[in-house]
Amino acid sequence: MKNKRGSGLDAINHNVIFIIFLLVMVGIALYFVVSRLNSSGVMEEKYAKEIALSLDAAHPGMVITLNMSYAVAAAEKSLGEKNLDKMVSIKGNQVTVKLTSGGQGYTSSFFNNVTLTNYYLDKSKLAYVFFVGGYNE
Amino acid sequence: MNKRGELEIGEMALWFAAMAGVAAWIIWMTSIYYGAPYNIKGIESSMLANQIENCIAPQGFLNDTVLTQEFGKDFLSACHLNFNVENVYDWKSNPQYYTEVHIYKFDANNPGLLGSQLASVVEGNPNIKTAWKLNSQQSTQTSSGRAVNTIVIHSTEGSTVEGAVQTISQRGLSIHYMIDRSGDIISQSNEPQYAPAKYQNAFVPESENGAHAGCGVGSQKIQACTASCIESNGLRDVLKPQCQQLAGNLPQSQWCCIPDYNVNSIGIELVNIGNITGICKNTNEKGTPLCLDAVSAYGDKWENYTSEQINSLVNLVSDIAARYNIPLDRNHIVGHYQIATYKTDPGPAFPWKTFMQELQARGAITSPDNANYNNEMERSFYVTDKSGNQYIVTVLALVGKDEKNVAK
Repeated sequence: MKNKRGSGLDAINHNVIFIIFLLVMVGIALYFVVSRLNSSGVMEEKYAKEIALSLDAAHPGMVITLNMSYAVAAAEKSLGEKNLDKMVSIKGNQVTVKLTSGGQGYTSSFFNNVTLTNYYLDKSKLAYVFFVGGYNE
Repeated sequence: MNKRGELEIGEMALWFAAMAGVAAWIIWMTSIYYGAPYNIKGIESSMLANQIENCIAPQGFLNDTVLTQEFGKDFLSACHLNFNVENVYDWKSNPQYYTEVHIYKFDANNPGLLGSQLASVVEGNPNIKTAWKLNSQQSTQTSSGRAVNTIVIHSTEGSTVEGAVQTISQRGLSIHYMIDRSGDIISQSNEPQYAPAKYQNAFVPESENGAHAGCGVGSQKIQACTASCIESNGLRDVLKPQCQQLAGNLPQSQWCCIPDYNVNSIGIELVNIGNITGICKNTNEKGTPLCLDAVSAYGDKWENYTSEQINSLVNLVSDIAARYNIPLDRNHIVGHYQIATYKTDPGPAFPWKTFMQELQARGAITSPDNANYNNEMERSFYVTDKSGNQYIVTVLALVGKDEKNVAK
């Protein structure tokens, strides 16, 4: 049988349990949102397409510097610091961004028929640098 | 909540369910947002149009080579374009770029319309154009809200613009456009150059109904037969054989007229005499006997249409069709004779086959204010070459790469 004090504790317990459930629920939702925001798949697609757009707008002689700090942070965990240079690869008119050791990364094409003389990760700026040479003949 | 401030079990369950619903909604919306492709089609299309524009008119002058045949053959290389795409969604075998470039002579007499076409290049997957059109909002209405879905081609059955304008005006009729033998296009805006003020009610703007495709008045009023002349499937130009005969061969009781064509159509008159059998020896403006350049049909001679007229008609119909999204087929581009069998125009001399071929080759993509695409993707601009010759260039550039609706 519950006395008056017991009833008060029950009320507190019910409310505490309820609030904990709510916080857990909100926490799950926030965790899901943040994990999607920082997921490698989303970032691979975003950066591949942004690099493709930058190269679409490129002219011979240009040097393009693209801040990729978020991608570098994601790639460091999976690829390791030594392999960061491999996170962007360009073959022909297709750019691939790969931020995880598994998977194939995301590939996007660009229509501008330019050649790149060099591209590398500038680790001090956490940015990729692309040197545009001329046009493919 | 009870007196002690304690949530009842039922109330708690309700709150819990509501919060679970909110959390599920957040997760669902997040999945939709981040699960959707990062869409760069629009911006890539406008960048492609930029590159083509810079290629056609570098440094503000028309590229000398664009009017040569080699340019069309070597367009991608000349404009530094590479249409290879990543090997996903079967894109490798179905290119995901499409571009059209048309170069027209600038016609100072009709600055609002395109002159004759000098060069044209089409590259890539044309299905992307259809996909973009289907995905875009399309307008079929004039500025006044009048819906337009048909273009009716007439001939004046007279020898001059002035005579035709006078006849139209005196009969209380009206038309949207008239094309002279020289290819000049006359409309309400430039009518004063061609006709006295008292006849200037002969032309109406596209926003108003014309009076060019009715079923006659008074003695010409059609007795019956509309239904009997049209196939049961309702196709407007699939008329039964008796209706396809020329007016003179039909007794009045069998005349056929499809009503209400004025409401949804734009009328174009071509200056042409029509049947010239009786005036064969007369000469034209160049002093040539009319029948030397005539088409023989139904035992009579019919005045030929000039190439300048047909070119202007192709430009005009293409422009109108683009603005109102009118299909370029014979259900929507009709002759007056198809609406009223007591009419013969534009007559047997009108080159329907070549006209439709030219029209369909041109497509309905000529107007800078075409609402089907963003102006960044479809643009037209004025340019001169280094000799001062004037041109209008239209560029359409579209990128497919639709990861949801794959264009094949």
